[in-house]
Amino acid sequence: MTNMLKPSLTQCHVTLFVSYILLFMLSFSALAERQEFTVILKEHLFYPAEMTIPANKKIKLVIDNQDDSIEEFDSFSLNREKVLFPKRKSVIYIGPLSPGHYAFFGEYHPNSARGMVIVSGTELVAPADRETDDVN
Amino acid sequence: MLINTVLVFLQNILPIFVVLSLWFAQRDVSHQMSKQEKQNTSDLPLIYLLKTLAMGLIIVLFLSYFMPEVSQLFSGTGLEIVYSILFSLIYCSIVISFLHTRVTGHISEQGKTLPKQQRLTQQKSVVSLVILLLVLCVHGSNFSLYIMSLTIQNPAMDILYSGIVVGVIIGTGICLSIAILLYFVLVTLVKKTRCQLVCYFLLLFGVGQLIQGLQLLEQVDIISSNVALWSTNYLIAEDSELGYFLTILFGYEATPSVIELLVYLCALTVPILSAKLLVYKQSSMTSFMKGTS
Repeated sequence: MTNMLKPSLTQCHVTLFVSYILLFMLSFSALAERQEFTVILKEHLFYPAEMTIPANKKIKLVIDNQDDSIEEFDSFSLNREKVLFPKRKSVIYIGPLSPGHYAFFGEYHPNSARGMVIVSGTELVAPADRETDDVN
Repeated sequence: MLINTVLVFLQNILPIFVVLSLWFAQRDVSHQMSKQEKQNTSDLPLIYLLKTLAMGLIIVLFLSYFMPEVSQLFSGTGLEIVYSILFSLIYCSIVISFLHTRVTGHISEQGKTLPKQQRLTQQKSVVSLVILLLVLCVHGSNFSLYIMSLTIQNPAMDILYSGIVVGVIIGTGICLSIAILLYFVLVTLVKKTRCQLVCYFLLLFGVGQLIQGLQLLEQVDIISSNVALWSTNYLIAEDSELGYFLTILFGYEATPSVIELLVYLCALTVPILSAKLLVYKQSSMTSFMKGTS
């Protein structure tokens, strides 16, 4: 009887341990406040084509597809791939990244829809100003 | 447009061709068996494959149609959640198939009873079809989205049309060449080696799919990602031809995070160890039965 119980108890402990890790990871992600940046896609062009973000911090990137066609935000260096539906906003999170240049492009129109994320090692100005500057 | 169509086609359709190639290679093992062995295996007929492909195409159209609505669910993370579930299902089905192959191989080596072997082979065939269906749904829907993006509300469609058609033809040619090459390389191998190679290749492919699902969850911040551990971009760049193939087939990541590395290693080692444990249990049970009789 005890032999039969042993594996199930071990399984319970493993399940609990894994659940705790997952819960910790999920709650950590959910509670964290992220600096927000916006990129607009219009006529298969990204505005702004370049944006500067802080190093070693995760940021929220809102991509507003104002075109009538579907696009896919793609970046090998950022490890991101997101389908952008027409006239809709999409959200992705990028980072934490070390200082450098990270290219992104629209997979369906790679010749025109191109952009660059510049990760700066120096402290950036207030996020709201930054975002406004980038959008305009 | 032509080059882009070829690239998108390869990225999304090559996995389907590779899975098909592995399916045929695995199936061919039973065709080379003796009459007695053939009776033992009871593989599913080819018509089931055609039915699965037809069903997959219907699901692809259905998925593509509802994708915009799904993407808006759960505060804009719907698509990532649905796709990560589908990627996990692909991995789980591949693990089941892997364990089945290992156990079936062990049973046939020991020359065990017919009904058990038949049942296991039939289950394995059904799981293989499920894998194919899931891969077709996930990757096919991405490609259908690309075609939709070009065809719907596009005034320059007449100019793009020839590029898309030629791109699809070239893409199909490349995918077919790779699939046929892979099939013939596998077919030339000895039955036992081939079986092992196919199931390990499939397992690596499954781990790659799981990593893709994980990256989708990292992308929408459901799973926390950390700084990349290292960069192998100087060896094999992800945007190079080889990088493309390795990413599509085995989930190659030039800049992996800690969680990606851990998941990759666990997803690879746990099924292998489980299979070894199952085989060990089988053989100890057999020797115990022999000892008692």
